[in-house]
Amino acid sequence: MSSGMNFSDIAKEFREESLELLEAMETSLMSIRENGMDDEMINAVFRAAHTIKGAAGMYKLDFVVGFTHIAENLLDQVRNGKIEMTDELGELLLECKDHMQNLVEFAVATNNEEAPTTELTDTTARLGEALCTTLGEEMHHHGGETSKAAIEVCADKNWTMKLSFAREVMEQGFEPASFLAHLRKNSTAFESHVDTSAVPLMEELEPTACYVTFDISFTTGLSREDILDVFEFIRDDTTILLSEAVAEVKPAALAQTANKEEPKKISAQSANTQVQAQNAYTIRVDAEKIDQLINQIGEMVIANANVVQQSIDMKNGELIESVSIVSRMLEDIRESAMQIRMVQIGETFNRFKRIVMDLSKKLGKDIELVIKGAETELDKTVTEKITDPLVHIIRNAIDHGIEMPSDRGSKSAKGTLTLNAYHDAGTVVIEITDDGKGLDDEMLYRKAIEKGLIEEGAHLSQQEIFKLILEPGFSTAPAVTDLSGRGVGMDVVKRNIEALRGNIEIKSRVGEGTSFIIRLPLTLAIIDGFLVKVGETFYVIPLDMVVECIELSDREKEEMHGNNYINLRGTILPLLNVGDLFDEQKTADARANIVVVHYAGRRYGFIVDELFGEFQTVIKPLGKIFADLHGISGSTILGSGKVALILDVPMLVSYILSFKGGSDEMKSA
Amino acid sequence: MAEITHKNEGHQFLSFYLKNEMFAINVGYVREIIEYTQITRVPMMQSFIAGVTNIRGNVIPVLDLSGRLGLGISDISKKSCIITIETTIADEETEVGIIVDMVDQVYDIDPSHKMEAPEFGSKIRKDFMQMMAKVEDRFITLLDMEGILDIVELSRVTRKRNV
Repeated sequence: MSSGMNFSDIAKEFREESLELLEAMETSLMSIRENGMDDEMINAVFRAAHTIKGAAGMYKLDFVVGFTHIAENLLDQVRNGKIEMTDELGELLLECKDHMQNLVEFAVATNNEEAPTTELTDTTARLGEALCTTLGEEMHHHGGETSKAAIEVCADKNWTMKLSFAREVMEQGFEPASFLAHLRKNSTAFESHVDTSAVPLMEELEPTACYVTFDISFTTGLSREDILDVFEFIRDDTTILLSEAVAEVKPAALAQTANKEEPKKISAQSANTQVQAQNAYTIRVDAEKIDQLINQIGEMVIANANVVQQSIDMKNGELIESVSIVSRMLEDIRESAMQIRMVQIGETFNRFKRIVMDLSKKLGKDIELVIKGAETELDKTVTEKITDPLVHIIRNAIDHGIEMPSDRGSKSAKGTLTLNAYHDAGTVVIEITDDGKGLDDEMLYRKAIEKGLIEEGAHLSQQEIFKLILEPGFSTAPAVTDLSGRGVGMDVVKRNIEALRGNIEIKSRVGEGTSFIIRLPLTLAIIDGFLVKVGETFYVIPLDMVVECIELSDREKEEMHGNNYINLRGTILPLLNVGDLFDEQKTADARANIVVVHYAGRRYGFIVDELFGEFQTVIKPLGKIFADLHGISGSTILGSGKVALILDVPMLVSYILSFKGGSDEMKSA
Repeated sequence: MAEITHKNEGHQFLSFYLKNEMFAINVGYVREIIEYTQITRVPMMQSFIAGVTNIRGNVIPVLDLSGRLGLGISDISKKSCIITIETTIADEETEVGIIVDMVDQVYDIDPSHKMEAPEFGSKIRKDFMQMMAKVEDRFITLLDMEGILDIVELSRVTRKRNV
């Protein structure tokens, strides 16, 4: 509203806020679609549109305001039960939501310095017309004129307003006249009288205080909320008495005063706003600040490890006691700090409802999306990076996995796509399962030879064959659709998941369906580790993966007969000699120990020299120079200041699995 | 690469010894000089990647400069130092430590005293040398950190016998 406000300063914030609101809008619309009309939901949609319009108006993003306004009008009618919510309307509104998002993105990208592209104005016109048709109104204008036309949809009304600003309003950096100027701009008639009776004598006058009050009568098409929104920034300190000058029986005024009793909210909508305020008590914090906090706590954990070591060396019982209390508290603080970053995966899952709906409709398939484990928490950075791969997998499942209803044979005509998330041994597992036609390994194998991805006659396990679909340039779709099948996409899945130190497994049965099982680390910053030493180097194994430690006795060594496994209580435990793999120097008297780890449902043993026990590990990335190094996922600083390396268990496990037998490939303990 | 050339602009060079031979780098790169400290070897890397070390809570890679130049791995002595270098590797501001046998001093080298490195006859690779300079009647090789810190070469993982 005030011309002094610079869009570029707040563009990022505006974008984030708008996208969040738009996402909430989509979630609510999808929920209405699934569960039927719900007052709370439609109110949420309305509020989202309204807030975006308000914010856009403040920064003069006229093309956003214009379009959003029509949508808001329609939503208002739906909310009041005057227009019935149908599936078609829901889809139209979803489309409007997408368009709003495009408009917002455009405004932000161009810093609101360019007029919207023809493509955007065309869509505005098309959707605007559709909205107006639903509203039963005629669109008078097209394209750029939409905003004007839209505002005219709401009939002009006469209003009177008594306005007294807070004394300090100017000291707070606001220019009262600019608010009025904005109101005047949106009014067809505008008359204001200034009441100067409160202005004191010259000697008592504070030059920076605002003494005047205004009596305004004006005619505008803006709604009551819109009018009050003009004053949104200073609303808390401003007394506004607004009444409609039409001789209707209506509560005459809505007063807002600071630090006084809240006036009774008459409209149901204000009550809802309050409910919302209570539900969503959140603080928006720059992620960098949290990262900094976590880093600092990390430093403290390292420093504390040093203190612990010294207190033990000093053999001072009381000191050890005190230090252990501090350590415990530090652990709690660390835990809480990590919690800040954690979000439920449900939000991400909900986003896919729309994709499933749109795609299945486009392809003429009937698909139900089942979501499980939505409350599973994981690091926000991880969720952000996993969204893209999930979209690719879901698209693929809908496009290639699930058959057309007529081709589903004995299965129910309705396909099911299940998203499931749960915690398992320090990792988060996300499963995407479809009940479609499954993967045909023979067909994949032939195709891979055809594409030159593997050699003729190469011996591959079923899992390896399935994973071929994640290779770049591998596409089995007979026809390239615009959804998938161009051979791009699935390799992104593999790359992104590996970048997150995760791994992917594919299970499939022909005719029954396919499961993608993704395992990801809970967080990227701190882990509980288990400290071991191999040769001269300290290594950390993520504690969640450690099952037990056993001593490798000489007798057992003999029993191995040069094989790379031992018999652990009746089951075979495959072993990896970390020292051999990493070319560590053998210490002469070292007794070998085995750390048993479990990963992806199986157990493996790592042969190490010495065990040191639990260690809180702040992960320090190793940097680009070590980017190609597999088997080490990062580093950490020990209490002594020495650097220890973190073992990348998934990588090492796949290394163990790559053993195909034969003595030349094995170097046992 | 353009972003690090400004570090070559100054005329001050930090000289040091590697295997009794004198080398120098532009001080624009130098962040600090610290005593040799414990280095954690990182497996499967080339021999001139000494490993990583902890500098004020950050884990930074350490390069054995003598090894990198092909002069053989450094013999660590009491005079050994780590010079920490600030540079941009693959678009990322990175701190790298380099091990030298002994730090000498900072020389002001007038551009007129610089000369092109010889076309041949030097035992170190041409792309590691920026210029030669004559200081106090001696020749110093001014090293080219861009070539030395080439990410593709540094990040190469050695072939392990079992994989």
